[in-house]
Amino acid sequence: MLVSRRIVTAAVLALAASAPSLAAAQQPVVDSVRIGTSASGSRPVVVVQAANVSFTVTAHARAEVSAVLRPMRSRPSSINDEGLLRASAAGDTVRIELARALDAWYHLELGVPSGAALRITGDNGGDVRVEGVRGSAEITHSNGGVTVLDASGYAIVATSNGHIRVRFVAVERGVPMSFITNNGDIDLTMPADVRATLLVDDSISLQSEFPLASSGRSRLRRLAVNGGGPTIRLFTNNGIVRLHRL
Amino acid sequence: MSDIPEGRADHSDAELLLFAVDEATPAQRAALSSHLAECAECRASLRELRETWRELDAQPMADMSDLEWERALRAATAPRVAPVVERRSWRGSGPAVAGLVAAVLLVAAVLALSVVGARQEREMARLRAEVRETRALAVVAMLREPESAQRLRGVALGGPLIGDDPRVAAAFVAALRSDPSPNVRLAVLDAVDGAPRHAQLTAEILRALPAEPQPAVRLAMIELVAELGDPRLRDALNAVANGDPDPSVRTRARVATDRLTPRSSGARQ
Repeated sequence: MLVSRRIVTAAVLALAASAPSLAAAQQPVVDSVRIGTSASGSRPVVVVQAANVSFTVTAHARAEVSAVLRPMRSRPSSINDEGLLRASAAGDTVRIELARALDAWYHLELGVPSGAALRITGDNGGDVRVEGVRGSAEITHSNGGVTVLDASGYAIVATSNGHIRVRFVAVERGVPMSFITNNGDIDLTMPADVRATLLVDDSISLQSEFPLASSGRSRLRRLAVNGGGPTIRLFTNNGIVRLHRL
Repeated sequence: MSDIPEGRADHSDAELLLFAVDEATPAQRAALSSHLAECAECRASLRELRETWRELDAQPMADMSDLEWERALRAATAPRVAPVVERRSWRGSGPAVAGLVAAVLLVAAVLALSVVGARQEREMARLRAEVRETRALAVVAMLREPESAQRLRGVALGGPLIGDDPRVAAAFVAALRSDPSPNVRLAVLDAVDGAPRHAQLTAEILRALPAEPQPAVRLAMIELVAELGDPRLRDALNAVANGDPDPSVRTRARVATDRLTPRSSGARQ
């Protein structure tokens, strides 16, 4: 009984988390772009900058970046949103931006090469959700949660308000990471054999499935995971940090 | 006259180094792979470079003393690497990470020591100064990299130099003012927190505080300023306590202001 309740709760939570993007998915596409990434073989860099937008990023095997923009709510047919998205490429870097500021909330669906180095800068508009990107994810956002799932590189995330949830299936060796939110919990899942040194303020409540060896100054704790390694900075002013073993 | 030693493939050791740390371009990788299949000497060099890089990677940079760094790099000072490093052909290697550049330069520095064969105190001091100089230059370069992860590395590497090297301190201030990543700006504050107190840096932190967009970073700024315990900073914190848009920041500034307010003897009783 308890198990089934948990399942139901998890399903409800998952549904709630995906509700905005589901709502947007029912809206018509107002603009879309598609642009090829350099075929040089190096890791393509995808830079996305947009305010008042929620994001869903999925990885694909193609050497291209696609972006689809939908409003979160129905818009009067008199409004023409065509040409809102702007895409450009220079060297290994593809940029997706907005041609003008948005006066309502939109949802941006991005498809990127699976090995891409992703850099998203958002501001309001809802959550950011990235799935299956094996390069890296650098996400700076405000007033929205950030979820990065099945990552296998590194991630650097900051948001002013919102939970941060990052699940690594593999971690790039030797790269420092950082996760900060002012209001929200941080859930970080890493492979059991990851080596890292966590930097956590003494005032932050921390739950860990990893054994942690503590050292360092009083305000900023240094906590070694599996003997220590590159630093992972974790900060929340109002929330807890949870470390999970994959 | 070619500067490539006889019998060697047409590649630089910088390229070999890039190959060792998986930073080589596909074209470099392809060319080196076919060369490595035939050249035992280069394979041996590659093994040494990889071992050295693993040692460097395994240690948190901010905690690594110059001496430890020298030791790790000395392991890589096989004679095979030396002449090519002196050629400094890495300068044309494109977007090699700055840490890599520092590593190459440090190999040269350590080699210089072994060449003169001097382990005297004076030589060690000179080498230390050279290592410090290289480290400072690497920090400044790394803080300009487009990847936040590289800039985080730069901050970790530069932390121990903040109090001594004005270039590093200036680069940290610039990052605090204008780095696009809040994670990097917070890392700068963490590094400052771990360094000896520096009045100019504190003044810069106060100056940057009102313009800082991320509340979490403003909180860290307030903590740092308050830890100094200088009552002259009270007015600045008071302004934050009254004017910051974020309630949690205002509360923290208020608490910090109280900490800086000298208690009267009456209040103590």
